[in-house]
Amino acid sequence: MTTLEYGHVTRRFGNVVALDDFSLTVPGGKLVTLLGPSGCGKTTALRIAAGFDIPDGGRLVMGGHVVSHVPPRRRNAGMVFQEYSLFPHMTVAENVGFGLRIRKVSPATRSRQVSEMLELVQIGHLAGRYPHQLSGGQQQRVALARALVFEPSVLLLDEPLSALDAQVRTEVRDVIRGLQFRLGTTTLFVTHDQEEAISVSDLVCVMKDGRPHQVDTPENVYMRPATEFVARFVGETIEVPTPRGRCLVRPENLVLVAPEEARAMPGVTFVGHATSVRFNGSTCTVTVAVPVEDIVLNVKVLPHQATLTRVHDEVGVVATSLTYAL
Amino acid sequence: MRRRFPVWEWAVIGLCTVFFAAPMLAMARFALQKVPVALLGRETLFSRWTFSGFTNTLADESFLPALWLSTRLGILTVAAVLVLMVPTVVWLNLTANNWRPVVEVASTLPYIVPPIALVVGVSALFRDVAPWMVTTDYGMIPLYSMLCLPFTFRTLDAGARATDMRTLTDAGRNLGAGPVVILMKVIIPGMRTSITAAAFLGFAVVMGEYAIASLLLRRTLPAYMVEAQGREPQGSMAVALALLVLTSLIFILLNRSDRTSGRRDTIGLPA
Ligand SMILES: Nc1ncnc2c1ncn2[C@@H]1O[C@H](COP(=O)(O)OP(=O)(O)OP(=O)(O)O)[C@@H](O)[C@H]1O
Ligand SMILES: [Mg+2]
Repeated sequence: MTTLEYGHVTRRFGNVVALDDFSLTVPGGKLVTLLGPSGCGKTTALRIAAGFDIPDGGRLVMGGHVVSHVPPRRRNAGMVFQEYSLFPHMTVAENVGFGLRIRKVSPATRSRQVSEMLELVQIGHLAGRYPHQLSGGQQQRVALARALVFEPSVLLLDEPLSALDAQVRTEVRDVIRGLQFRLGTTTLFVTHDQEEAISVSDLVCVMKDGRPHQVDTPENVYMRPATEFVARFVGETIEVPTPRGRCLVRPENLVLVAPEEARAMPGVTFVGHATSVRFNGSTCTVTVAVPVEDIVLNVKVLPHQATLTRVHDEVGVVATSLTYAL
Repeated sequence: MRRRFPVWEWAVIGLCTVFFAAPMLAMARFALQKVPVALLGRETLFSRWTFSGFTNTLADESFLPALWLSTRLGILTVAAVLVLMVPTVVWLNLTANNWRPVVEVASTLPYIVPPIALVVGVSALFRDVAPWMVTTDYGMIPLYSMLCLPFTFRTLDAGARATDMRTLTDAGRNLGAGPVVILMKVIIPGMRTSITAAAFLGFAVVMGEYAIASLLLRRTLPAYMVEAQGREPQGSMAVALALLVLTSLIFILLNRSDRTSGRRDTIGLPA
């Protein structure tokens, strides 16, 4: 399995530094996501891996070879683009077979591989359609099949789900993850959606301004963020004062208790008044104003617990764990 | 709520139809009725329709050579223009977007430079270096190619812009295709409709060009028709009418096939 490695890659556009001494290793067979806000250099990193862009400094190593200057067509990397990128004059089957045709695979083998791959992305019945006859989710499945059918050594996905609506998004996301797991293709997945990153990856690389801030498992990135930026970007946080200085906590780590219990407990506790109780479906949010500290805490509780709390009630809040000390 | 009858829409459509159809009908009467022009009125509407205009022209020994010359020039000009302009447009859209204004201005030059200036300039310049440009029929191809530019460039460029050429090219490169394969298998098929339209427009320009042909003393179809107008006014009008009808039909068919194939790119006529 091919390892993809960025070694101190720098890329500038004029005076914008899109990638700044960027180093990252995507271990063979793993799915790594690049997560970061818009303009942080995710697409640039991916285009360098695909060969569409050449680093100004540093190097790119793929399967043990330095490939920084190898043209895209010799890299054997499959890519799914952010925009719809199917060839409009070709059917689904012709689109998927394109890479095999270039590689001079015989027509019989080609059509077998194409239909197998279309089955894997669950659109075998659409082989004869043209791209404009497909929905967005179907188009991205075709694009995924097209990128995987020639057994690329790495798979590059540039926000393949960003143009899809919520439900289709999760469906296609599960298809991607299932397929990646099954084929064991080294994959770099770009997204700016932290939930997506957390749910599909083996490793998440959180980046900002062209630099990686933390490369870690989804659990660690969420529960043990390395920098303040990571803590705030991945998931919700609330800033609270503690005896050891200000800290960031996740709303689910705040627990509602009786006020006297909070006063009696050691650790980080608060007493205040409930100012609102909101129902969000599976959970409720109780907003607590703490006058002494002059803060407002949004506490997530289960609905049955929320029914015990009324607006203006005095309540206690306990922080069970602190996510990041500022 | 009942939809109001779209009076204005239909009025405009009607006006346009009259605007285009009335001269054609008048042409048809002039060309195809064996009635003295002074007597072409309401009462002679149905009398003495005949195709003798056509048959006389077809029998004229200089007609077919002129038609054949114009056809050859048309085809070769279209070929030359496409070979030149398709790669140019692709290049403009892929890597040289900042060159677009330059090419746009250059492509409108034929609107600005009058044919006489073009011919005189070209003959003065090329008479010694490339005498064939002034003395042979095919020497007109470069001039005609220039003349087609405003139409073909705009049509091709509109077609190219309707597709996301950058992403499609990247997808092709990523799948392992080289530049030639990408051009032939990805980009050109994607621009098919606009290439057809550009070819047709170029052909129509050549089939109708008179000024340059007459200045260079070439016997093209328009030159023949102008000359024949004196001898055989009805015959030459009949040919003109046939060309007009044929052109319109091809145009309608082009638009049709474009719509029925359900593709997203447009025929991209110049504005
Ligand atoms: N071809 C280019 N020319 C000039 N600047 C560019 C070019 N490509 C990217 N940039 C700049 O480099 C920076 C990083 O861009 P990049 O496209 O990699 O961001 P991104 O993380 O993919 O953002 P998004 O989430 O919005 O897609 C941005 O500031 C962008 O403006
Ligand atoms: Mg991007």
